Order: sequence, then C-alpha cells, then structure tokens
Amino acid sequence: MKGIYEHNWQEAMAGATIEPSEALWNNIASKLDNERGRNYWVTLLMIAATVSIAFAFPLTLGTLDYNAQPDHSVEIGQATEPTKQITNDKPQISNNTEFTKSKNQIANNTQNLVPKTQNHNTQIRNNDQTITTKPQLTENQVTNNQNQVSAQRINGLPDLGNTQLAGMENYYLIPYFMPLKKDDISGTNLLASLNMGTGSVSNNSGGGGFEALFAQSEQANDVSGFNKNSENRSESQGTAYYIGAGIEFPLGKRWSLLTGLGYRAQHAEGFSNIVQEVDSRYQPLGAYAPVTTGTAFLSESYDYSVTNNYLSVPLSFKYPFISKKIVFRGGLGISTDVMLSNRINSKTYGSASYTPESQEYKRFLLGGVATLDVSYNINNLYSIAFETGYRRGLTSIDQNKEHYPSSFTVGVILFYKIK
Amino acid sequence: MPISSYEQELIQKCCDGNRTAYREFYTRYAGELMAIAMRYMKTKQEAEDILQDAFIKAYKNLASFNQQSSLKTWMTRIVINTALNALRKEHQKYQWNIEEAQEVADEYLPLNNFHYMELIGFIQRLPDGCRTVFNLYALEGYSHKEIAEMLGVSTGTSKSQYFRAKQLLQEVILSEDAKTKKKAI
Repeated sequence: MKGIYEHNWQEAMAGATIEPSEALWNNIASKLDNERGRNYWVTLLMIAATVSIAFAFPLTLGTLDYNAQPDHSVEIGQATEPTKQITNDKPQISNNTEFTKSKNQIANNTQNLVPKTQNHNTQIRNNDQTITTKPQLTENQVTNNQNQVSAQRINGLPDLGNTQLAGMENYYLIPYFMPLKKDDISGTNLLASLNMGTGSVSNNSGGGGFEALFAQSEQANDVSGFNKNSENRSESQGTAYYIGAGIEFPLGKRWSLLTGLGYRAQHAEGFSNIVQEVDSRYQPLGAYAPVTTGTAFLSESYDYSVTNNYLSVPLSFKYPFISKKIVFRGGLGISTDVMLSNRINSKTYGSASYTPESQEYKRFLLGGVATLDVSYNINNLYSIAFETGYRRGLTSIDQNKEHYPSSFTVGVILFYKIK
Repeated sequence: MPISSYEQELIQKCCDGNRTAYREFYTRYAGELMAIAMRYMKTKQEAEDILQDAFIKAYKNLASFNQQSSLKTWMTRIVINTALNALRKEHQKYQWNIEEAQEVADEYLPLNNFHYMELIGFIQRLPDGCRTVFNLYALEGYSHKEIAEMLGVSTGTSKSQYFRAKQLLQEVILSEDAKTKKKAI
C-alpha cells in the first residue's frame, strides 16, 4: 500500500512523454531486417539438420527392428505323403569340358531358364507337366534332363500339415501431420509436412495362406508346368516418404485440431518365387501376396521391388505441455488411409499393378496415432517442427483381420500462420 | 483491462509482418516508453538503446502477447526488464554499498512546481541502486519484497535504498525549489 508521497510522484509523472530521436525507428527497422535475414539462414540450417535426422532415425529403427526378427521368410510345412514325387532341382549342367563358354556364362544361362519359359522359348507338355527348354543353350550341350523343371499340379495336393507364416510382425508406416508452436494455438495455420520412415510394405498374410490354396485347389489352373516348389520369398523393410498439406484450428487457448490431406508411398525390396498368370503372361507377386488361381511357384526366386500408394487424411488433437521458446507438444489422433495401388517391379517379370482387393488388402485403413514434437518459431509467421510418433492400427491391414501394424515415424513440418 | 479492438487489429497486422503497422505501434507508445526508460538510465542515449532493444523484443514476441493486460502495461514491463538487464550488465551488481539510510519523515515536496522533464532529471541524478528502487517502488508500484526478488537483494536493502533515494530527492527538490523562488523574487 503506497502512501501520499508515492501517489504525488505518480501524479506528477502521469502522462510524461519524451519523443525519441528520429534515428531510433530507423535503427529498429534496420535491426528487424537483419533479424529476418538471419532467420532465413537459421531456417535453412534447421531444415537441413532435421531432414538429416529424419532420414537417419527411421532407418536406424527399421534396421534394429528388422534384425531383431528371427525369421523374415515365409515357411511352409512339407507334404507328408505326396501323391507324386516333386522334383525341385535347379537345372544342372553336365559335361562341362565340352563347353566353349566359361562356367560363369553357363551359370548365367541356366538362371535365365525361367524368363525364357515365360518368353515362350519353352515347349510345354501338359500331360507329363514337363517343360523343355531348348534354344540358346543348345550350344552348351545342356541335356534335356538338365533343362527340365518338373511340376506338380496344384490339383490333388494332400494336406501339407501345419503352415507357418513368419515375420509378419513387421511394422508398417503411416506418417501423419503434427502441429507445433505455442503461438499457433491461438491462431489458424496452414502447414506442409514431409515425413519419412521405414517399414514393411506388404504386411499381409496372403489371404489366409495355404488354407486359401487348398480351398482353391480344385479350381486351380494348370500352372503351365511350374512346380509346386517350396516357397522361398521374403521382403525387407524399406524406405517410405509422405508429403502432405493441411490446416490447424485452435480449440480454446491450448488445444488445437489438425487435419489435411497427404500422399504416401511405401517402398521395399524383396525376393519371391511366385508369379501370377494373367492372359498367358506371368506377373511378379510379392512375398505376402495371396495364393490364388493362376499362381505358380518357381524353382528359383527373383528380386523385386514393391511400392504401395496411399491417400491419407489425418485428424489429431494437440496439447502443449512445455511452452517456452522451444515448445513441446503431445498429440493423439487417428489417420484414415486409402490404399490406391500395390505395384511390383522386377527385372525378370516386368511390372504389375494390383488393386488392394486383389492382394487381399483392405482399401481403407484406420490407425491411432500418439505423437511428440518440438517446435521453434522462426518468426511471427513461420515455425518449423521436428516430430516423432507411434502409430498402431485400429483396423487390420488384411481382410482376415490378422494384422494390426504399428510403426515409428519422424518428420519435418513447416507452419504458416494465416489468422 | 482488455485491449481495444484497434489494438487487437494492430497486433494482428504486426504479427502478419506488416512493417507499416509496427511503425504505427512504435509511434503510439514510443513517447511514453521513452519517458520511462529515461527514469532508469542516466542519459538519453542510454534510454534510446533500451527502447530500441525493447521494441525489437516486443516485435519478436507480439504473437505471444496474451492480451490479459493492456498493451502499454506489457510494453512497460519489457522496457523495465530491458533496463534492469542493462544496468545489471553495466555494473555486474548494483552499487548498494552506500551508507545505510534511515527512514525519513515524508516532507511535503512541491512536485507541482516542476515539469516532469525536470523531475526525471532529478531522478537521473540518483545513484543507480537508489534510482532503480525508487522507480520500481514509487512509480511502478512494486513492493519491497517484489523488488528484492527482481534485483536479487534483501528486502532491507531495497528499503534502505528507497529511503536514501527519498532523502536525496528531498534535498535536491527543496534546493531547486528555493532557487526558483529566489529568482522569482
């Protein structure tokens, strides 16, 4: 409680104004311009650093996760009493001494047997399910037996016993938007997002695996001479990227709601020994593709790459729990993804694009997302954030409802305040 | 006191990067804030340096202005904090080691006989410690406890500096008033 003395002083000083010199505003304006220029470089450095981290972090996580898995391949049990002997040998070359080409060249030729079969350089005899491959290797004097790939019809296969599909716990990447700076809480922001990560692309059981195979065996086509060989297919985790744009709305003084639209592409490498017959042509199938009518099992695997394309609509609620110069926020939300296509490329069998339904994926995916982000205000209009998060599937990726994938993601988001 | 719609609009424009709006913001508050800065610093140049830093800080932080106080109050706080930081840097610590001052009885001071520019000049003549405490206690309305926390000193030191400031101001104001009256006669 102040006394009369202080009151008198306050009255005497009330309304006091002293005009600063004209140069003061010019100095302030000049300093602000310099700050803006400096912020430009700070922004560039932060983007570069964050992108570097965004690349390194998910790849490390993915590698650790992948290596931690005991088995990435798909295994099947063996037939207990096959009705016919399954011959599953690689073509072998005898009488090497007569070859004019080197062993390596011969080996290369033998590995080309499968594509040549596809290219109709092979005569197929349905009766004995034997493929005879002839041209191009004749000069190597490869015997007829060595060029034969015996095939077992799918029809009439006995019970193969227990089947096991390992490595299905691979995680699955779904990036999402993140909001950030504390000042944005009181405003509306446009945002652009770049997320990166890693995960398994085709985390699917293949439509029930061999149960489906048995169910369809009665109507399966002759697979044109290919063996029912042991499966030998696997898929590694690959990189993925996501770009999107959206908007953030304030909900009260602290909460905010974020939504938008983004495009996501997931890429992975793998090898497979199954192909799909379509119009007398064989298309590549991924490691987790379902076995259906027209699916053939090769004696040797081929390399492929796969890309899944999605449209994503995220919806997240955000709350700041540390709000200083650097702002830390937590978020909870969902991400609805629409799978557009599943595309597989291989040198041997070319490219094929499949609908989600044909690969027994669900077209619509729903995931729950928990996030943490750290953001920095570049200036009054722009802010940048580095975010990381965890996603857990609320709906399964496959139609059999067996797999609810989870993933870690990291990303960079640039915000622009519009209101 | 809620801010006016004009101020809200001005803040928004400033946040949007509108330099003309910030010039308007500067023109609106620079005079009053300069008077405050002058009370804390000894020279006009020092006061302008404080004002410059304060307006740059304000520009960077306008978006975080919570609008629970008036814009003038918010800016005043920035100016005072900037001034205290400058004084702290200049002296590392305030010059508290002047002799202990005893509380003096409030004598009537003919403040109305002086223009505020003259009163500011009297305040500027005070030692840094006394001047700072006098400004904070008598003119900004802080308590000694608050001042002690702000400056990192004891409450007793704050009180002692205040009494000393009152003593010095009383001497100079009464002396100047007497001179003025003498001239008038």
